[in-house]
Amino acid sequence: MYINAAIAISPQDTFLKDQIADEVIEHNGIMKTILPDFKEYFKPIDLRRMSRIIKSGTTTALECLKEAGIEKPDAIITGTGLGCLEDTESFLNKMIDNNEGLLTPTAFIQSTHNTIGGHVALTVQCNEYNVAYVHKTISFETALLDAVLMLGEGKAENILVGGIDEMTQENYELKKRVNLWKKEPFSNLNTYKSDSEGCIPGEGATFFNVTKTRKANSYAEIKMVELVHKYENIDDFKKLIENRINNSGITINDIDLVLFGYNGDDNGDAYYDLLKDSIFSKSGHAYYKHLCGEYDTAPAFALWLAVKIFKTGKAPDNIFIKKPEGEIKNILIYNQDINKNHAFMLLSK
Amino acid sequence: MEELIPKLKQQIIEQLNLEDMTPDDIDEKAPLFNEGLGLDSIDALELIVLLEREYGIKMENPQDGKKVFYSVETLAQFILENKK
Amino acid sequence: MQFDKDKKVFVTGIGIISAIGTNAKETLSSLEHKKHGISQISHIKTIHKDELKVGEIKLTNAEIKERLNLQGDNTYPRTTLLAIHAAKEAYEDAGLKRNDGFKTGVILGTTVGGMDKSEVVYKNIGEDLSFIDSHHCGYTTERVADFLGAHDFVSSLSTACSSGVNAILLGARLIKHGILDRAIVGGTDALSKFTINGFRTLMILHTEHSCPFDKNRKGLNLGEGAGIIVLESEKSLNGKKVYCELTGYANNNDAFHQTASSPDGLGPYLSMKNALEMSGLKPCEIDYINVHGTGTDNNDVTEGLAMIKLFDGKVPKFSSTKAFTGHALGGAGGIESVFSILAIEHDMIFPNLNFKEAIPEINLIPVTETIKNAGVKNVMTNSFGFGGNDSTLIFSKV
Repeated sequence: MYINAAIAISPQDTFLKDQIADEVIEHNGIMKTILPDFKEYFKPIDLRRMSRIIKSGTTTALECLKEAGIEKPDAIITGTGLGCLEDTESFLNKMIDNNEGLLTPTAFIQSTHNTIGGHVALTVQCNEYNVAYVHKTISFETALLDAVLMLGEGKAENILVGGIDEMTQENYELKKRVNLWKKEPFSNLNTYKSDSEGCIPGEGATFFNVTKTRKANSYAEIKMVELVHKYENIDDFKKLIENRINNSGITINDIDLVLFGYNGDDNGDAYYDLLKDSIFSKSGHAYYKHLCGEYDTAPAFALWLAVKIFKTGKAPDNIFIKKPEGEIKNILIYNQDINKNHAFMLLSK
Repeated sequence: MEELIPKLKQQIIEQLNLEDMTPDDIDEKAPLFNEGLGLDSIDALELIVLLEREYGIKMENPQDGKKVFYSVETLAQFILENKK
Repeated sequence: MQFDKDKKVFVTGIGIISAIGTNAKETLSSLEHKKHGISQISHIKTIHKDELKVGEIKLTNAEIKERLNLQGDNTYPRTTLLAIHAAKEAYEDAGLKRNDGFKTGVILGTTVGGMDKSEVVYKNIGEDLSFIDSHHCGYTTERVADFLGAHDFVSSLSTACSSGVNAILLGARLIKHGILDRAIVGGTDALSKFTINGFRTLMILHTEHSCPFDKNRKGLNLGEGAGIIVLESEKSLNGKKVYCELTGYANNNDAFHQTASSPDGLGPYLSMKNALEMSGLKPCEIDYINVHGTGTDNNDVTEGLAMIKLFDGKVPKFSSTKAFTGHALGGAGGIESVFSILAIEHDMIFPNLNFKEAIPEINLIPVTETIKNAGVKNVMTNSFGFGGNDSTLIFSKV
């Protein structure tokens, strides 16, 4: 499976850009996405029901199709941890505050998790397969795996795959109660610095166009998408991952760079170390969540970053824990959620 | 009627979240739906709530909305006839 | 990983809990004897209690927990409890054992997720903060996977009211790709204040018992429940009883409007057509369609038109069973898949309750009395959802 287009709206200046500047844009508090002017994309009347995440998701999807030179994909597959959170909260709050009186349907309709996939289908008039995966931190990887399956089935030639999540102040405050975040004040520039519990909240909308066959504009080949819900024995887990990589057409020694999902929370980061210092010890090591923050579909941002490293042949220095020598040809992206939902995406230039 | 129309236009703009629109952009005689302003069935449901909240008028059957919501003018007429 | 188009996917276990029964046996008896489960709301505190009718499961959360022998002070959302209840039945029905060497995964669809729990405490947060973690849609799937010890693939999807069917679809595909030997799949959703109010704003809730495909239909009754099935490849069967084979599936998008169906039902037509093509069956070989049939003005006409087009006017026997259970949203596809499997297993077609007069635009008459010895070999079931999401499955007698 080949990636031919990648578009990201993120807390960095990434929209329609080919690489991330060496200088990281600082966010104090929630890492909010930097938004384009949506009025260039939608008529005012069409914007009336579109929340921030719907605008971001639809815009990245449309730009992705444009970059790939495709009018209509053969399938639209999305991943999202919490879907249209702002609309969900809006309806929930009004329902409780107004004691169930005088409610309107818009926020309720948008609160369904497949809203963006459906909206993209509606916009480009795509009648084909359209599903939204909603399994926390593997929502995007499940969507990507579905694309791999679908291309393997010969039912589609080109697919739009995306990961979308938004962070709201309300959700931030809620999760503060369970100590999910770092203690305030925090800045993404210090994501990994201190020994601390908690991570930094982020958000993003990222879409890819994938095809079965290689195109002139293909940037990367996805060699493997592997999901491991949980393991009982770390040695068996290492063996399993090593086997899967070795079966993908390259060997574990060919991996130039591993993009780890380190988020600065000591509780979860220790589990990355287990593989970093063993089966991946020979590869280069990098992290990316200081750029996008922690959110369920952050691995989609990592995939965008990997694709752009291939496309430009350059990587920002700020991502490296251990910089590999020579050209980066094979990148493995590894994300997990405190030793659950381990997800791997392996791609080659 | 003359007072109600601009007020109603403003309320519609707010209820339907019509960003960047002003009351002057809406022709009170033009159709609100489809080929007119471009509203749809979900907007009709939003307008039903607007009627209840601002004018105390309850519309039980969404089908009744078709005539009432034809234009700002028909809506204003309906409000004047049914306002409590 | 190698895709084998011809690899057969069998149903070996079924589990169900809805307003008409807490297991397959009770459910079948209710369907056969036209015993519906529509009543007033008793578990949810809502101001709409007296003006709406729903398909509610009368067991309380505490009673379900007791039945499941769930230890400790866990406070699972109802959506989760219903899923575990149905999954346990399906798992035992299929005679599965933990760690038997076959790759077993769990994929579920839900729309409500943990909302039934979150909405109660959201504005009045006390000491119990567990709702924060149990809110997301993947929570239920993980609890089911833990309960059954099935961890070889665990994921979730949400496509509004077609969620349950799409989970079955992914499970079947993972088996055909050899990623799994068996998949525990389906849908679950509990009634919640959130969905009751949401559907009420759409003005498509019938205040009385719904009457799908009737000329005077006035909307749907919401329901709740879970329908979960075990899919297996030939490899793990080992001579055990097989209910039927999943011979066709498809998902398409109507791409017309966020909530309304296109006037000619293009999405439903495509999903039925593609599932039929995949099954290799002729249209006349479909013996029964368990339709989506919500009882809304819009759905029943467009679904009817799509059936007329696909079957060239010769529409097979069909019924909507939503007047039995209410519309259980993400649970509906799982529940109605179980009904479809029961139809094959017991050679029976279940009635469409409350039908009096055909809708003039389509003039289709559903099955209104239980038909026994109906010669049911192939059953089609439809599930459609917001965002134009349309899915169809076909189950066939082996």
